[in-house]
Order: sequence, then structure tokens, then C-alpha cells
Amino acid sequence: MAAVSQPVAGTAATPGPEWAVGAGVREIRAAEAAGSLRPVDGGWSTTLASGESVLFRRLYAGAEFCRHLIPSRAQWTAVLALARRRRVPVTLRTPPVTEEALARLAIVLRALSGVQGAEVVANDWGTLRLVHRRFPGLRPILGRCLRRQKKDPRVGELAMSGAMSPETLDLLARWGVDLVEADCLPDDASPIALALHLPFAFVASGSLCLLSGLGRPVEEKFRPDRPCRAPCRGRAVRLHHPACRAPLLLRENTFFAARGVGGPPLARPDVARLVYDLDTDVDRSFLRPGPVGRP
Amino acid sequence: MKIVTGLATAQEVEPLIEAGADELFCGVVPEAFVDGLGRSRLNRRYEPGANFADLAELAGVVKRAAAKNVPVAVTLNEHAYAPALIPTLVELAGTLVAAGARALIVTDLALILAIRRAGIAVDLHLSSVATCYNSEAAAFFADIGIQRVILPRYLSTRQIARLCAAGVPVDYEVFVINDGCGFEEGLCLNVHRPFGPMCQMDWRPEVGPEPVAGWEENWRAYRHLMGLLDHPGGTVSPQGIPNGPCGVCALAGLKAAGVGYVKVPGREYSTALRLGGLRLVRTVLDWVEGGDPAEVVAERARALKDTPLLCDSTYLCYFRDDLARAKPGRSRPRRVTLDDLAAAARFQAPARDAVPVPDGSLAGGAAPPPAAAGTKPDAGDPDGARLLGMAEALAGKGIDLRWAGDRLELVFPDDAQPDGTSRVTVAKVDRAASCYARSGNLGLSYAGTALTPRIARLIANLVGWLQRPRA
Repeated sequence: MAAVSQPVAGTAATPGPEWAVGAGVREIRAAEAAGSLRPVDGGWSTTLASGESVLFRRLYAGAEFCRHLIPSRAQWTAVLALARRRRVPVTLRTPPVTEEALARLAIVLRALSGVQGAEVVANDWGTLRLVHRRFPGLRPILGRCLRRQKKDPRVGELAMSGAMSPETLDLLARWGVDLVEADCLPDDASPIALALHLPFAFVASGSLCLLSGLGRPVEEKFRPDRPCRAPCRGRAVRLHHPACRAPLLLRENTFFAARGVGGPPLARPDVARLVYDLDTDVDRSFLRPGPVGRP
Repeated sequence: MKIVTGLATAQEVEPLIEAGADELFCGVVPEAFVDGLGRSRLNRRYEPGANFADLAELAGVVKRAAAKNVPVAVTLNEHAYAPALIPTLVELAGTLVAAGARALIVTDLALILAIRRAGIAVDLHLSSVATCYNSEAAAFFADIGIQRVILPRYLSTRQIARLCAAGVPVDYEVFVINDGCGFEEGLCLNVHRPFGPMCQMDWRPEVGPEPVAGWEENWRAYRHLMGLLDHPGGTVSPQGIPNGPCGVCALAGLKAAGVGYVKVPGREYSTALRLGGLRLVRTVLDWVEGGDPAEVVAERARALKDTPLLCDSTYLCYFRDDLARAKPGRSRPRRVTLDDLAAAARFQAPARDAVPVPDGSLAGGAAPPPAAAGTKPDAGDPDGARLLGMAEALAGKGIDLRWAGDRLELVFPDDAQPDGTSRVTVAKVDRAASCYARSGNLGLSYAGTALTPRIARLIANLVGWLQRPRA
């Protein structure tokens, strides 16, 4: 199998961006069972569809876009147990949050504080402030929702790639942020380290969630104020339109456009981390199926 | 509680104030500034006619409003600006303040920080585009110099009450009429122009491989929701009240929650529409401030709107958690069916001739008599000449411009489609949209007046001319 002879990205032997995998416990177990992820000491190895072997050395878990999907304490305990078992550090993804959701999030943050190497991706300025004030041991990362990169799959190239001003960088430094998440790379080298998401870029998100309406009477559908039973779990919808060359992917409350994996931009020195969103890539379309070779 | 209203033209100052506006906000895009913007925009309303193009005009507007003790704020609230633009924007901010702007409505952290660093003495209002949902975020922005937070759409009255109760030293402003959004505006990062909002596209969903229970009903309801959020834009009811998203039933709850300001946006829409919305909000707010019980206010508001088809659909309510107030004695809204939604959607599409539009002075001149189809548009008419130039250039690229009854479409080859073509709607007569072409790809643009019957006639005439028999 050609992949076995490929260099393994994200290892000490091949300096480059660190790879992380974004998934919940269920997705990790399913991928392990399918052979798409192979547990190794300190992470998981996999082979991308491109043939490149990759070692995931960090686990991203939690909800990035929907406040209804903030993990419960029990769910988060399971994530931490998995991370301990695989000996990987964890990063908690957090969504934009209302007052009530922020209170729920604080419970998870408390459970995370004190865990070695733990990080928090803040997609809400309030979360960033809360982490800074009350959980200084957690490394804050600026999330994609706070980095307003224009992106549109109907446009050949992205309209604006989200460079950051010196004022913003100064402020982020004061808040302890030294890593920023991105869907696409700025034209020029970023003065702050980037964590690039693969294989999808998010293009739009919001509270009027299509999938949340499943199983509800018409008058109760799409109500952001209602508790949600998360009928989106494990489900994705592809949206086709002639204006888009590839279908968009609807996951949770968010539209994604495929951006693929690999390519020269990934080798940029300002890209410190690559985050493979396995739970967005529901059918693991960018991973080579079946057992993978040990690196 | 004060009402903040969008201002699009100088002629609107006194009518809006007389109708009850306590504050005004507007956009200013100076002509000299446009070339330097590149792919950026100065604010979130791109439609021609939604912004002033002249700082002197702004100064005049501010002076007239100030004579009636009404402050004017200016929007600089695009999602984000290229860092290289920030110094120029700070300079513009200083100029706007010198022209009398009392506040600036801002989103981009970089711009906020730069304005504060420059020491410009002006209130900063955080745009809804910044998606401030909670008190920690409000405190974050207060720390960097924000005085007022405009909350994003779709927070419930209960969530807003909890946020206000946290006691962060900022004022809060909420949308109560006119502007919907299929996503969250601050988190919708696609490009509305020239392709149109992504939420309004005619998607073909693919679910499965296993069937999903209730999928078809859910998808149809969702499409109705998106359609309702879009189609009412620019239309008013027979009572002269905007048909779009609305939250006036919740005004009492919002006041009790501690909200200090309510917004009547819609600079992209007609004066008539904003006046109608403003009068509704003013009337209902007066009831609230007069001490009428919340349930009574809500019921009277519904009666005043007199569009039960729309209200009962519930899909146009900003504050669906507050619906019980509108139905005294009921703890839940009544049952709604897909047929109800379809009927509501049909209500949004009045006959073209029935669409209220600004009068001749606001439309840029009195409507000319209809020209015979096939007559070349008058090159002496600035709009006609621009449309003509655009259409000829499009035709040269194999793209047709077609008039389809109530809308202008670009039709271009697409092998993936059964009929070999794809269509993009670029303007509809039932909303005060501008006409524009695929300027991003073709280097063409038509930035004309809002789409009034006069422009519609020009377009129809133009298309007739393009489709004339040729030798």
C-alpha cells in the first residue's frame, strides 16, 4: 500500500504542522472500528485519501457552532477518559453562547481546568473573557467564528482572507491568545500562528437551524429559544446548486464548503496546526478507508 | 425606550422624526472613498440609495436632526476590514464626527481599537454583526470602549432579560421590525452580491442514504421560513405596515427586560416602508409606556397590523418565545400547517402594480411614459444608458439578461442543467433591490437607483430591445 511508505506528517521526524482530529467519542470509536483511525502511542495514525500518512496528536472535542451541543459533564468526562487512554491532549471547542449557555459552558471549563495541555477554542468574546478571568490555566485559542473571513463557494477565490491588524494582535496577546483558527490562509504570512481546518470551511451559521425542526410540529420548528434534542447528531445534508461546483454540507446549524486537504499552502510556516474535522466529514470522505499501515 | 431608525435620504429627516424616531442612523460612502476600498465595503448595506455619498449632505442632515434634538449615528459595520484600510477608516471616522455624527456603529475589533487609540471622542455602538450574545461579551466590548450593544437577531426576550440583568455598563438595542436573516448576520460569511443570499438559493437537498422521518415536511417548512424572511422585504400591507420580520408584540417584555433602544432598520427599503414600520413601533411603544398590560398591547398590535395570516404563521416573529402574549389565554401558539405557511408566502407576493414604491422625487424623477418594446433605451437617461452598456457587455460574454415578469435574470450556459442554462435573479420588482450584474467575475456593474416601476420599465424596454429581431 503506497501510503505506508509515505512520510508521516506531524511527527518529530517530519517537522511541520501538528495534526489534530476533531471528533466526539462516538465518531472516534466508529473511525477506529472502520480502520480509518488506528490507535498508536500518543494519538491516532491515518491515511488521507491523497495517500499521505498523518499522525493525529491532539483531540478537538465539543461543539463549535451550536450552543445546544455543548457537552454535558458526563459527555465531557467520556472525552477526557478517551484522551487519557490515547495519551493525547484535548482542546475544547466552544460555540457562540447565550447567557444561559455560557453558564453551562462554565461547568465544562471547570472540568477541563487542571488537565495538562488543555486548550479552549473560543468562538465568543465572552468565552474568551471568561477563560481569561476564571480559568487562566487553559490555553485560549481564537475560533473561526471570531475571525470574520469572507468565503463563498460561488466565488472562484475567497473575497477576504482575514488578515489581522496590529491592534487586534496586541489585544489578543493581552488575552493570552497565540493561536488563531482559520478556514483559509491570508495572502501574506500571518504574524500569529494559525490552526487551519480541513477538509471543510464553514461559510454560514445561525440560530434558525434546519435540522432542529425535525420531529417538531410546524409551529415549533426552527425556534432557537427551545431546548433541542439534537436530531442533527450523526446526520449531514448535502445541498446542491448549479452555482456551486461541489455540494455544500449542512452539519448541525452550519453550512460548510469542501476545501479538501493537502496542497502547498499547508507547508507554510505560519500554519502551526492542521485540524481534521472528522465529525464534519461524516463519511470520512477524505480518509482512505480500511486498515492503515503503522508509521 | 427610544426608537432608532434608518435614514437613507436627506428628504426623510423630518418625516421620520415626525413619525416618532428618537435617533437616526445612516451610512455614508463618500465617492472619493470607493476606489480605495478594493473588495471591502464600508457597511452592511450595499444597495444604491442606502448610503449618502457626500459628507456635506451628512452634515446638513445632522444639523437638521439636531435642531429637533435627534442624534445621528453612522455605520462602519462590515464584518472585518483589511488591516491596510484601518488608518483610512479612522480618518474617515474623524471626518464623520466632525460632520456631526454622534455615534459610530462598528463591528470590527481592529477598527474599534484604532478609533479608541486615535482618541476620537464619539460613542461607539456595537453592531449586531459583532454577535454579542452574553454579558461576558458585553463586558469585553465595554472594556474596549463600547457604549451601546446592538443585539443580534433571534435572542429570546428571556435571554435578553438575563443579559440585561447582568448589569454590564452598556445600553442595549434590539431589532423590532423589517430585517430578517436566514443565518446569523455576523456568522454569514458568504458574499450577498452579486450572487444573492445563500439562504435564499433554490437548493436541492440530498439526505440519506436512509430515509429521515419527517424530512419532506421539515424541508418545505424551512424553505417557507427562508422565503418569508426574504420576500416581505420592500412590501407593506394594505395598512401601510411592513410585511417583514416583526417583534412589536414583545415591546413590553423588552422594556421590562431593560432594553433601552429598539431599531427600525431598512435603509435598503423605501421611505414608505420605514415610515410604516416606524409608525407601528411608535404607536405600540406609546401603549407600553402608557402602562397598558403587555397582553393587551400585544393583542392590539396584532389588530393594528391586521395581517393575521402572517402573524399566525409565527415564522416572522423575532421573539417567538413571547408569542403567548399575543394570544391571551393561550400558553402555546395555535397549530400551524404547511398550508398556512404557503398562504403566508403567497401573501408576500402582491401584484406588481400594487407594490407601494417611493414617489417620483425619491425614485430619482417622475416615471416616464412606457416606451414601446424593442425601442432602444434612451441613452440620455443615465439609468437607461448604464443598463444598456451592461446588457451589451453581458451579451458579448454569452450571458443573457432576461425580464421574467417580476424579476430580472441573468441566464448563462451551464452544461450541468437539463436545459443547458442556469439563472441568477439579480433584481426583483417586489423589493427595493438594486440592479447589478456579476460584477465580481465580469468587471461590470450597474449601480443604479432602487428598483422602482420606472427602472422596471427601463429594464423591460431594454430586454425587448436586446431580443429584437436582428438582421
